[in-house]
Amino acid sequence: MKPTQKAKTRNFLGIAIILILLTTATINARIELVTVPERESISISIDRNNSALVQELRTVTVKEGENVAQFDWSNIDIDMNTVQLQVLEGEDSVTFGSMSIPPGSKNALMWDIQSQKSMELPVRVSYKVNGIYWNCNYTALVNDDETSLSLQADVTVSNQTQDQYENANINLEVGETFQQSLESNESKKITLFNMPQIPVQKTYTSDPDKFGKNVAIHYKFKNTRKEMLLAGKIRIYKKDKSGSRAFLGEDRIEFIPAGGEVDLYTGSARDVEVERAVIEQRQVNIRRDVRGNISVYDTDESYKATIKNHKNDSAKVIVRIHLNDFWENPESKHEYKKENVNILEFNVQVEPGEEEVINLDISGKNLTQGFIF
Amino acid sequence: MKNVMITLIILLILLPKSLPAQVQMVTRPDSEGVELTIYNSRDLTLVKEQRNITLKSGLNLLQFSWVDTLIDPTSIHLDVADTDIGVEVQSAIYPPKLSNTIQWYVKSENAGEKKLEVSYFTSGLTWSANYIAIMDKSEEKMSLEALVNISNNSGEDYENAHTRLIVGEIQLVEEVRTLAAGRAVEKSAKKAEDRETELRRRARGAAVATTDTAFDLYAAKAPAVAETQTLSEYYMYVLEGRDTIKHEWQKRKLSFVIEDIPVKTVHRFGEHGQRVARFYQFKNDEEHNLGTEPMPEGNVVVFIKDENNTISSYVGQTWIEFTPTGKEVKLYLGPDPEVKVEKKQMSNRRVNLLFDEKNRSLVKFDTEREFTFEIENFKTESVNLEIKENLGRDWQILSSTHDYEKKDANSIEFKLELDADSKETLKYQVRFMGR
Repeated sequence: MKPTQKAKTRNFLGIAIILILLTTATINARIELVTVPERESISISIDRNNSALVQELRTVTVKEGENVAQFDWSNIDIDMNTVQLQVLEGEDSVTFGSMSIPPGSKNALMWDIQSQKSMELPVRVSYKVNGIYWNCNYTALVNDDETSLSLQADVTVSNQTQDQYENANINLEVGETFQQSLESNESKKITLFNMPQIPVQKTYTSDPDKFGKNVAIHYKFKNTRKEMLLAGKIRIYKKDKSGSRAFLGEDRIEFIPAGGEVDLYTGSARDVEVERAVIEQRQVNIRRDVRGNISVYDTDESYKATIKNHKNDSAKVIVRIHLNDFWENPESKHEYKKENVNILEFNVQVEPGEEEVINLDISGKNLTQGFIF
Repeated sequence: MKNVMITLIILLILLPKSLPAQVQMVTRPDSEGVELTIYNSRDLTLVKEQRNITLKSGLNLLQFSWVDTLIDPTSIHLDVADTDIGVEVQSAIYPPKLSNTIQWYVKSENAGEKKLEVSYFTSGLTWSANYIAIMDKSEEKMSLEALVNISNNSGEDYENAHTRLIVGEIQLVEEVRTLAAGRAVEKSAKKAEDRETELRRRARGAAVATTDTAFDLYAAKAPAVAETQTLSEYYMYVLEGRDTIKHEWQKRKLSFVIEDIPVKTVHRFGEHGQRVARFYQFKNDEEHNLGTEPMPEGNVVVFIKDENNTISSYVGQTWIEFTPTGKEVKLYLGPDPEVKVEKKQMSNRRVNLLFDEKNRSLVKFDTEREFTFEIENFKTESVNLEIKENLGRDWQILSSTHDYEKKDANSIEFKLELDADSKETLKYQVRFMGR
């Protein structure tokens, strides 16, 4: 007995996307399969919301007279509403009639095609399919004094459908096109770009509403590319004294348009502290009703935030002070920015080993309850 | 028409009031043509069939029966063509021992072939609209394909049917499906008949009121809708040719294809959380190559073309409501991360405090607030931005950096044109009375 030759078969994994041509007479009885054209080329466009549009070129052979083209699929999640059949050449000789969906079918479409002659008809079938995704990951490497970073973006395209795509043109909405084969359940990683020396600013933020008593570390930089940055996870590293990479933390970014700012939160600082205290709170100009109950009052209030920098480097510290409603005349020796009616933001540069004290005086006006701080 | 059977039984009248001696029987007549009028707002279809039937002179008994279909038995009606003088439908009976059967006594003055029309309501036939919008790369023009999708789950195959589709809301006191199940037949018989008469009257009226539509516009792409008509408060599409729609099949037909519809891209803030939403906007009017008919509600699939004029990507799917002629259509395309609006409240003051003169308690006050919108357009093209602000009741705008339009008692709207790659700040101050 001869040794069995290793079968060279294509594993379809039970998937079928078939475009066949039927003669009208046979539809209601038995289905006569006239041609099953193979896919000639395929392209996949994946937009930023991870919707994948697949376009296949196929050639069907039509007969003179009535033809029915049937497109059906199984084990693949194709959105029926998006299936389009477009004739690429010879459209003057064919007329499309109505389209039918057979009983109980969520995965077959039939087009009536009237042709003036027998001919080869190149068509494009396009449809949206669920199961093809991109995923973007960034690697940022900050320099020694943390004033600049290099940024690498890698995109992984995953095919979680049961279909396999040979030499597919894969287009990402961000302007990248590449040719790849994608087996079922296969992922491919492609480096989108690598940008060196992006200026970066490191800040320390104290905001009790967002970070409690901790001081948060942020790295901020601008997207200086012409394209938007895709949403994804970004990992931040720095080289240690021995030259190997140390992991500083990670964050997730949303879509960042060209010219937009990236603000990465990487965790809490140990060497920068902010202590907060309400120093004074008094009700003044109290107006009472006839029974002696307070109906409305003003307040005089003071607040103190003490910043301590235990680091060996100067630190840019952001201190946010939250305010309740109905205040006026805030006063401080430090400059501040009104973020909104409930947040004043102080930006203070604190030198190594130094302490900086922010004092804020404020008046409440026409309060009926509580205080400003 | 395999499940509906019309048998003609010739009845010889021997003696008045005697039991009929039934002499069988003439063959099942061929349907001369079925007409379906399908309503999309309710599960309702008016079926009309014309039959040529040979009648004897005198009294004839016609029997109509059906199985496994969703026919409303109270709605079955037999009509004689106006040209057949001397033929009269005298009475209709639902025989007690025969279910799903109706019999008519038809009196004819002379023997011969007569044109009769049977009509009834059925449920299970539905239609809906679908649209495919394909944008040019410039996003300034689009082509719009409108499709009608007819589903048949009525239990009956309809062959070579003339099909008419009705757009518009219709009032029904009971669902046809319920009536088809045999419940409430008697109590609703009268109402159903009134309804049927009314519909029939309207349908007839429409045949007269046919309007010439801009059919030429669509002729190039050979659409399946041959004619559109207004019909009282409804709108009717008449499908071209005849269709065979078998039980459990769906059929999609092209209603129209309109090319080069000018489209404006609009961004809106205020209705989708903190995000700026993007829309394609056009009007169902002449200026936009539309406006000849209302657009039924339906799903819209949006694609965009590339510079080679082929579809390059899928933009999204959205739903449009019923859009009468002249009305604006907005296709929602999701949030746009390239246009950012940050709304901030910058001040809050209590003013005009009012105290009770007797007991000196605070009775009421107004508040004055300032809002700013920090707007940034990161796109390399200009953007039309609309900002909708809901203010609630009783307010007064004290100042504003931009013009606004009062939309209703509770809201205002700003319209801005943002240059490419630009920043802008909008501010307004408002006083809320008594709150």
